[in-house]
Amino acid sequence: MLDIPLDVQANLPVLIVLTPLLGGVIATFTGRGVLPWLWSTLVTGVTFALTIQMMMTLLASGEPFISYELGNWPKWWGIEYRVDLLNAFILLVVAGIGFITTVYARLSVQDEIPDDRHNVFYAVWILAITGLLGITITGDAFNVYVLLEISSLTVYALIAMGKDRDRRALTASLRYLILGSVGASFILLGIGYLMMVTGTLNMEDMHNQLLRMPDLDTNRTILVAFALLVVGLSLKMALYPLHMWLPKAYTYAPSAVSALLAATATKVGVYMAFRFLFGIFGVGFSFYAMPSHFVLLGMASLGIIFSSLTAIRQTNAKSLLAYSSVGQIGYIVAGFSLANPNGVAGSIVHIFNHAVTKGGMFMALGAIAYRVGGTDMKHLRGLGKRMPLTAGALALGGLGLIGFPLTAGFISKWYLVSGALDAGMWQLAVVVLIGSLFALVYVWKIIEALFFGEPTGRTAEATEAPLSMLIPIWVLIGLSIYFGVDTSFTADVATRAASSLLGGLP
Amino acid sequence: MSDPNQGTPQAPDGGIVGKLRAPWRSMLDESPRAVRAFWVGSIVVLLLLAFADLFVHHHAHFGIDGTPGFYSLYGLGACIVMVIVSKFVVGLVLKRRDTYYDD
Amino acid sequence: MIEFPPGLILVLGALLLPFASGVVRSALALLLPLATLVAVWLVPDNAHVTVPFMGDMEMTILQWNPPTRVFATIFSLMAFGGALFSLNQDRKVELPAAFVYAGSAVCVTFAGDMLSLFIFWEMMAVGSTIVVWSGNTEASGRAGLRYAAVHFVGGAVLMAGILAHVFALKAGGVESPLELGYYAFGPGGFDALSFSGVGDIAPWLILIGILINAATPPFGSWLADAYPEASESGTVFLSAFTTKTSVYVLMLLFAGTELLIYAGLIMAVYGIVYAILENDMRRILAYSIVNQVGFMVCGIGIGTEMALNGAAAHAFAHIIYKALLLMSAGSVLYMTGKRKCTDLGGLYHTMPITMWCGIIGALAISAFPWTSGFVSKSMISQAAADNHLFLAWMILTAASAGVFLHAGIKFPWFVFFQKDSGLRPPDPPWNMKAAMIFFAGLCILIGVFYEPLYAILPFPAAAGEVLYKPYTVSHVVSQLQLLLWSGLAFFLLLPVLKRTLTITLDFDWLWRSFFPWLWRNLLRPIVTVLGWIRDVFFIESKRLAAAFTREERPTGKADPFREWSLGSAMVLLTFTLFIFLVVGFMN
Repeated sequence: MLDIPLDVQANLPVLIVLTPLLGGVIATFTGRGVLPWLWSTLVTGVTFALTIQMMMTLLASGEPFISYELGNWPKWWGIEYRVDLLNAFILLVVAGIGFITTVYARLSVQDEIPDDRHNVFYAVWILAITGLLGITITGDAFNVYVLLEISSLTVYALIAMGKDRDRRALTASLRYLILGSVGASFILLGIGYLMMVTGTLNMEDMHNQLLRMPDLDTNRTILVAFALLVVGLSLKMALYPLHMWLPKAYTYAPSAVSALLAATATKVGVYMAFRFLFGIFGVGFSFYAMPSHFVLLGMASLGIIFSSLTAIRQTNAKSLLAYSSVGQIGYIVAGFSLANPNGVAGSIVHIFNHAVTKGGMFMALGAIAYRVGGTDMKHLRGLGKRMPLTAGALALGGLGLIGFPLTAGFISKWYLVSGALDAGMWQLAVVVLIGSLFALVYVWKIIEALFFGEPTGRTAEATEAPLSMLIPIWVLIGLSIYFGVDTSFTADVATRAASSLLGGLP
Repeated sequence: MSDPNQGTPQAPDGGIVGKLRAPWRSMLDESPRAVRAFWVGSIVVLLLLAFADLFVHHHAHFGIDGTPGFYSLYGLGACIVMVIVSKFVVGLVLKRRDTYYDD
Repeated sequence: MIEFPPGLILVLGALLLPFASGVVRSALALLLPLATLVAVWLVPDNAHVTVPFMGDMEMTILQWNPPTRVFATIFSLMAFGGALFSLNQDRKVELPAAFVYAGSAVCVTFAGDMLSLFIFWEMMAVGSTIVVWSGNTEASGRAGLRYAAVHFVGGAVLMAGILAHVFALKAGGVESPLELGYYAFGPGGFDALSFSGVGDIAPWLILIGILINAATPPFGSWLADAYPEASESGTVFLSAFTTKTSVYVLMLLFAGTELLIYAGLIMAVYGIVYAILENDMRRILAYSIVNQVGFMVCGIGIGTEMALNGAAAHAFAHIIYKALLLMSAGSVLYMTGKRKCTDLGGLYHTMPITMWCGIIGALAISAFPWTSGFVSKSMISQAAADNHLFLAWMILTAASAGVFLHAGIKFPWFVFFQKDSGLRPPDPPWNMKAAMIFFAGLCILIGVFYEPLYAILPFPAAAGEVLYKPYTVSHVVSQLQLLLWSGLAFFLLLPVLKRTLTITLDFDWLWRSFFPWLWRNLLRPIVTVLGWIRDVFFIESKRLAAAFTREERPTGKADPFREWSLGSAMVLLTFTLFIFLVVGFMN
């Protein structure tokens, strides 16, 4: 363990949020040139280091969770930050991807965003990460909503900054803003109703109060709160068919933003679903008293099949990957709605695996956009010869999406299918297999364009992406292979987190 | 069988390579007599093999395979049938120009 | 002592190859397969290595199964021969991919559970696809895509079968449902052909998944489609591993399944019929792979010890002579750039070594006495006879005659003799010659000294007994009769066998021609009409939304998939909430 001052150690949870929050604000004043990027790399780097430290502290402590009361207010009145294995893991993913995409972003941002707005871009960028980290770490339901708004607003802004490359970024952002706000207000309403019933905003307390209610299963207020929350969260995590904001947003956002969003934003949405469904409502209510099994599994299965089919029909590689993300969210949701150890573990593992794979792939597309000027299939044609390393990364990532053995995707799917079989849902196993076949087709489209086309136009003169992009890309793609071979860390964390979720710990 | 305009290229002189090559050239290319001799010799060998069955005891499993000359006639017959099936049944139905898939 | 799968030497070593050049690369290319071969033989008899997989599970990646030794040995040997043959190639990716492919095949033979078997199986698919693509022509690109599609679908079918069986086993309370033992369906597997439960479909899916890789019709057209499109050296590698790994797995899981007898017979005949019609020399040889694998599959279907030994031995011998034949054809292609029999002929003038090696390979594939094919194939026929399988025996015997016709004579005759094409290329570079001579030597060596091969078969003879005696007077005489008289048939029918500039349609016609046609003429109109209906249905909400948000229409070509309009998105959102509430209330 690093030798760090005691008061840092004691205040780790709040530092994870505070560092990027202040860092983001300061980034506004960093002026032009390379400084904003340098600063945000530093900030995200430190944040990442803090989350690693957090994970190590947690593992070393042997406790199921570490609780931290903000300003020493008792958690019933104040805000509690609570870190257990699950969100330590998600924090690690978000901060890690945040750091790597920041490193990657320099040239891409230089290329796609006017010079005078770099400081604003990076400020918003860091704040978006802050919001995501905050949602993950907090143990307070209202705090979740506040930070959700922070991350949402910043993300709308980030997407809109793609406007200098393609005006459609503006409508995409507006679209997300409208839908996202509706989703967020659903969530707010849901939290409000819950507070009305339980009289508290602390998640653990809420859970205990709910359990104590004799008419839990029939109480209409709780039912409405539950329905609002589930629908609001489904929209936030882009669960089919509430994914309509996602494809355009991912397609027209600046390349670096697409990578960050694809890897983290929806995943944090899924994490919120974990917290609310398993933590606050509890497995018994969410999955046995309520029809979540049925509804969520249905939506997830439809999502896996239809969005993969839609992905096949895309002619822009970015929107192809965006639709594929919707399908992958389907796998994640299907996993946890099985509410059994293998399914939930599959879901958690896939959050990580997909973040790494898709993040790497979006960054590779960003590198292509940087060199060629676009990510249409016609831009990709023949790039295998001109940019072999970037193209190779895309191909390997694609194998991960298919769930090919020895990639991380295979591990997730294996868990998922085991979970489905444990639950006696062989139909889901069939859906997963069909989804993999469709994934094969759309990945194939990319591979075919990359390696079997003849380059034309700017593609013909393209050279290999710069190292500052290649290294982050290959770090992520390398991770997606590494965790396909050596699963001890991810599998261990996921199974332990799954059992604690199913045990009902908030 | 050889094309008279083609001429016979000069073989590298001597050596094991030249020796390996020589009998085939004389037999098939240059001398029709040799070809005839090859045919006659072959047929003699074939007949001898077939008649050898009279002296060799085959352990017959099905009866028919103990008949003298069975393997000879069966080999000949099977091949003729397969070629006919291939060329005149399968071939007629499924044969296409070799650019079929390119169009 | 070796405590890891020997195939990994090849797989991991392959990753070094792209970084080496010159002598180092050549040395690596030759030493890696040899190291693998040595490692195979150093694995202790009781080896059992497991690796943890996903926390609580274990995969057995190293274990001896009965046919492991013979297959692992020949796979390593083949990797060596192929590497030697391709030493002068400057294609960067081909040899590493081929090594991954070969190494994974070796790993499959040591796999002790279904999951690790499947993983290596899929790695083979990736490696071999890249080998096909390394042909680096447009045709090889397209053929490679079709090849990849077939194999990934095959992999998915196999995985589905494994999962279905795991499910059935778990329902039965089995602790470790991935152990190979549970998958040995064997003779009883198809006795009860019921489809009452999910578990019953498992053996079928697994069998189909494997038969796709074994190139059994109607799943087999990928082989003749893709193999001839690879490079000269690529085809040599391809010929060896995929189908023979399937033979290995079939032997483990389906020994004695009667269905396989008929599958094998169909393969044997199909290969001949198509090879007779074929004009491309490497495609002739590709079809004859199907024919030869048919013998092995038939032997597995018979399922007695003799038959399984025969199938394993035949796989061993077949890999060598088939590689030899393809090396010979590859040398011709390399030196002349021509692959159609109509363009070739008369090459004996200047390519004597290639010719002699080709002839030795041709004799071996025809199972001429004192060649490797003779000592292996006869065991399968013998097993058919011993089990009084009259039909099988008759067809196998006819197919043996047919092999001589289509591969034994047709290939060398049209390439090296027949009319003079006027081509006068010299023999290929030294490494190609060396590889051919090495394998030609092996063909004869095994034909004469067959005991070492017999000693490593899945069911070796008990002490003091003789496994099988191939060289009896009766056997030699009958085999010579069969072959030479079919040779007579060839020369009698020569006018009919005239080469034509044609291809013969195979099952791949379905997806190369029929499905595209179906899409153009039937499905696409339906989809279009559905699109119109959708437009009509959503047009109002779209207009509303456009007025509301002033969303600009994308200019130029419309998106191929239209987005949800904001308005309909809202409707949908509300509707989802409504559904949730209603279902919740009903609960």
